[in-house]
Amino acid sequence: MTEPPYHQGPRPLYAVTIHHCIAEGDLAKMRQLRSDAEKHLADHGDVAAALEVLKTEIAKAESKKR
Amino acid sequence: MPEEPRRPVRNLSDADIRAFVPVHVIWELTLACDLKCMHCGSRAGHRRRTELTTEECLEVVEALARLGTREVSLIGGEAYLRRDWTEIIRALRAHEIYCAVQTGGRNLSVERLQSAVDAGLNGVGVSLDGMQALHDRVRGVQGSFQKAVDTLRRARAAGLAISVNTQVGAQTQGDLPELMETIIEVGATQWQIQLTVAMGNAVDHDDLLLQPYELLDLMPLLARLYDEGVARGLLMVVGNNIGYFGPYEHIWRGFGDERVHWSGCAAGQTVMGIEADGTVKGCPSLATADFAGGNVRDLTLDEIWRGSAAIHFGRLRSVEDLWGFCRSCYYAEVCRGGCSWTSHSLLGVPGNNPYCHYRALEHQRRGLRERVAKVREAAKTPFAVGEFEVLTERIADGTVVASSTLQARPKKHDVRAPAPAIGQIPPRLDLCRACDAYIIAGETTCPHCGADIRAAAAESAEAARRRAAAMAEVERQLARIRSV
Ligand code: SF4
Ligand code: SF4
Repeated sequence: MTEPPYHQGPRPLYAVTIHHCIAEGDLAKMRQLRSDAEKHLADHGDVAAALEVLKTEIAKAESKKR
Repeated sequence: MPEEPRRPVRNLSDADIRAFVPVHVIWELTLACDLKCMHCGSRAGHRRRTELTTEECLEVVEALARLGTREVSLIGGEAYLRRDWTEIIRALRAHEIYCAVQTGGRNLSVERLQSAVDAGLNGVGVSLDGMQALHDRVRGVQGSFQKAVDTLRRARAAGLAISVNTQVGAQTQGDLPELMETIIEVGATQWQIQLTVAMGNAVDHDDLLLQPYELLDLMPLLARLYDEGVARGLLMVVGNNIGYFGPYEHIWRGFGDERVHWSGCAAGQTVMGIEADGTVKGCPSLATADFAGGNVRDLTLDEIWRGSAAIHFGRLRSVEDLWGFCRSCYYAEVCRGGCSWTSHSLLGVPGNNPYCHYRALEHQRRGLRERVAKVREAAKTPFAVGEFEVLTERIADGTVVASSTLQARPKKHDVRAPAPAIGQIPPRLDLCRACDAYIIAGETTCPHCGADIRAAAAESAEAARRRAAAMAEVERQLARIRSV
């Protein structure tokens, strides 16, 4: 396990929350890729097979998460 | 339009932690307020009698810049009720300090907002404590929900970063799904969830407080909303008092980066709070009576930050300062009893925090649950605490089996003991890949589920490899398509 390059900042409760943070991790990345790929799928058949594999991995990650 | 930073400026480096840089400062500019919130910890409404002058505020800005502060949240009362608030924003921005205001948004008019934007304001956080009926009731002003939503829309249109903070109490859960829809619709990108804390007006209205055992219902709901939010561009930020180490910790504390977990209260280490009269604390919400480190009218900010025992309580804190369930908790060393404000406000001493998911689950496993009951009212002063009792009772028949009033409390620190000169990098926990609970590094068998840690890690590494391969293939094909 590599060290994150930073420690997450605190979230004190009277303060404005953390701006500009984004979702991290494989699941968020896979979901983003899935939506990118789906946009292209209509015109380019060959993303389809790779996309199916990706969807399977997303489903596995989602079921593990609960 | 202000330049958008690519990553939160309050992220901490090892150097920040070691040098105790007050990276994030929360500054109450005035206690004047145009709302009448039933849960207001500072009992805001009227200005403090001796609020800092413009000149004194500008000196504070210079001192913060010297200390290395990178972000200031302006709060109140309502910060915009100070006529010179834009002057203070301008001074902060001149030092490239990220500046955002947390507001109820009732009277952040078009003109006021524009003057703050012109001064360089980066962001606006608006407090929404439920849908209209609940929010208006809790905030004490009819129509305040609509004003708050309008403020969000206008701030977004002005190009500012916008976020929402929601306090969760006994009556909030049912409103959360619809509230999330509203927040997504107005275009906010971060939504901080935090629990209402037993301080000030919330002690008077203790029916607003969530009972600790209700976390068992709240947390799965939050996890579902977190997930839906991510898919729709809204990131839920669990505040420092949404505790700790339960089954969702690896999902939300690091926004999906599982290496990030709760690692203890940062008050007086990388966080500072300043009250409108110049009183400095380790965190803005802490009780003034016990945590005031000094006043910028008597000492320099640097002297207070580096020399005050009341500021340094968190730097000195260890397992020795924990009590009750927290004292013998598996996570005690890393967690140090969660949010100091939450537990100190309840019990008068930090280090024993019933608002913890792991703790609620452990009690449930033993057929027990915890609830809080008021035993003493709070004074009518800002940031005053009352006193509550944590009762542990049998779920089956409600028999009380333990009370916090009978538990041994830690001795007060010897205030002459100097705080360490160098901050400690918090220990990093590992994750059991079988049950997704955090474990102390070096465990071979998971203390939570009994799995073989190495075998589970190997299986998880294989899954990660498969995911990486699947992503790489889609990326490769997309790149090919885009290049033609
Ligand atoms: S029981 Fe106390 S020490 Fe343990 S994780 Fe919860 S808040 Fe932290
Ligand atoms: S007291 Fe609570 S809100 Fe303040 S820094 Fe500590 S954990 Fe955060």
